[in-house]
Amino acid sequence: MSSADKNLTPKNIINWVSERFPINEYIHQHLTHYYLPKNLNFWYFFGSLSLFTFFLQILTGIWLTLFYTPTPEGAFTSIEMMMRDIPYGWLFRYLHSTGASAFFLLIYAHIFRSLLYGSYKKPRELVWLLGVCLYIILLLEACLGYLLPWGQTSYWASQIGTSLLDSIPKIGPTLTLWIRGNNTVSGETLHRFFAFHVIAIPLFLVFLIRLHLTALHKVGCNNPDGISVLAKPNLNNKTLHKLPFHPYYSVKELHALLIFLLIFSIIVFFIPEMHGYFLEANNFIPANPLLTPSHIEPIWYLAPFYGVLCVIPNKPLGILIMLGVICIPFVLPWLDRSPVRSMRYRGYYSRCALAIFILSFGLLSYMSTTILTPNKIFLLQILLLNYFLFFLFMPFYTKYEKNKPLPRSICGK
Amino acid sequence: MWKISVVFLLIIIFFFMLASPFENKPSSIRPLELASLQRGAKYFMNYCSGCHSLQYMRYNRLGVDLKIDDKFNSATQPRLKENLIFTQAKTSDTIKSNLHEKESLLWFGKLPPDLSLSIRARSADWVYNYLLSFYLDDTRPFGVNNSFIKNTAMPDPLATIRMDTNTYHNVKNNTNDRLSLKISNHAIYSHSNKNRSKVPTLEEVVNDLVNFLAYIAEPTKNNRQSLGKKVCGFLVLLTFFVSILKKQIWRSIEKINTFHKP
Repeated sequence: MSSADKNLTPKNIINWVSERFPINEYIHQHLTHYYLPKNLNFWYFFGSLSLFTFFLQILTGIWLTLFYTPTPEGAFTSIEMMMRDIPYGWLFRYLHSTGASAFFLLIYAHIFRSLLYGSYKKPRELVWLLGVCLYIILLLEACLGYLLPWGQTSYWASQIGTSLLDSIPKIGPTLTLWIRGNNTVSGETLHRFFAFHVIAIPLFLVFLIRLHLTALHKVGCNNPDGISVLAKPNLNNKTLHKLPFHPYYSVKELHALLIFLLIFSIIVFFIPEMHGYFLEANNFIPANPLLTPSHIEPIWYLAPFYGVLCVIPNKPLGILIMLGVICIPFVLPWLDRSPVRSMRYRGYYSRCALAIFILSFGLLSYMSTTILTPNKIFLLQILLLNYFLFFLFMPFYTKYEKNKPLPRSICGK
Repeated sequence: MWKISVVFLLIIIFFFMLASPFENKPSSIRPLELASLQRGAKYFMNYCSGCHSLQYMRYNRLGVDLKIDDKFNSATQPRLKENLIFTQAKTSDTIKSNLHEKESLLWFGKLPPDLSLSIRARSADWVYNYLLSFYLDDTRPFGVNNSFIKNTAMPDPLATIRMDTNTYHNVKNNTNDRLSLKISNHAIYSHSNKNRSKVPTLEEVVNDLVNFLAYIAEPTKNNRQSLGKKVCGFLVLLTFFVSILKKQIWRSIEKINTFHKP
């Protein structure tokens, strides 16, 4: 520091840093001069809420690793002991387990917003692709983390999950052995799942989230009307189409965050098990490799994929279809041929298709957590067909439907 | 600006609120519940702990939470030691049964499961129904069977109380020969309930046991709920202030737009 500014006032410190680091440019670019359309509604907060939940998971996760022992003998006991003997251990554990479910709920709402307002359409295809990548990596992260409590459901769900790889022709058995480190899910599997869950996948997630945000800030945010908005506030007209993120949206985001935290706290403090949906009853029994449970009930966010495997009689075909379910959203931007982005101005075909799609996927998730009977399997197959038909028919119904006229700007009618 | 300061002030208050419960606070179990839990602990130690462990629960935690033992008053320590610890365990140990593995395999054909998480793994209703569903059956090795879980390996631990409430209607004369029904009920209740006029019914005993096991399954439940009320109350308050702040900030935009409407 030069002799002129030797006194350590906060202003001097900030100046010292900003001369050496682009902190002001950063604030300028991403907060005070990052312009967003002024008509964003509550659906637009789920992205930042998921980001918040991601960091919450990281922080609580770091805390959990302090007390967790990744061995078959110690895993279950260490978690039970941290919930009983360590002050506020239960809080961190419930925050992490509820956070996982909340993360998926927020991500689903975030994806639904994209479908509703056509946020995947040109020029935001790359944002969508990165988002789908994030979703898949997140599923993988959840799968890996699910083994760590070392309860009965954890153990047997992972046993099924890793046995999927077994049916890949030729390389399957070798790959399974590599992943499991043993012939069945065992201590070796727990070690590698722990390593992947705690460091490898989260690092990758951070990287992808950065790319997702960079791509978004390059093309700008979509809006509920799905029309292009003037890049800078139109000063001649004095009508503001776009507003800077800070303070207008930062205060709205804070409001949304607090409402989310309120709901989240009610779950964490009063119903952390969520009637067996967030923490299953069977997972309070330590893993026993010699005792297969009569009914393996997957956790709800992995349920639709498990359900697909259950309803397809042929195992390799089931795996292919499951991969199809996960990967088909990648091509969505090129399947949609509608000239209109938002559902507000689209015709009835698109609206009905989206409604059927959401209902099908929701019902598929719900029913996969229940005990399957032949009737239910038939229904699930129909729901699965609906899921694919939404994508396969999309080029046709979006092209030939009658859309409503688009407004000229987001401010006036 | 003053509103932002209010928000920051509230955030600081929140952290103080969070920080205060870090001190050692007595458990917040309601008195009625506490009596049931204390009775439940007694029944568990008398009827269950011979075979079943509570391997995730420590005696001293139990003592402090159920107000049997006081952490800061050494005079109360023998209370726990004399009334609830029937093994050589120290008060800081977890509750483990002294049943030998080999013997239990020989006697029951399997190891008695640990009951720390029985309520969370099954449910309170399950345990309640299971304990109430024993009936006499000569074909079984212990002379009893269970209508809820057919051919269960467990003998009826509450047989003596059940005898008392006449749940076994067809008690034969030779029942006294059986190991599990050997002790007469008078022998038991004349000592443990000498101050009480009323002998508890089977349902009451099972109810207390289930309450106790539910507490064991999650000893922090009361702390969780009491902290939850504070956190939610604070969040409601903060949300209210932030919504005012939001309205203030957005009002300026609405003014511009209504003034200059094309």
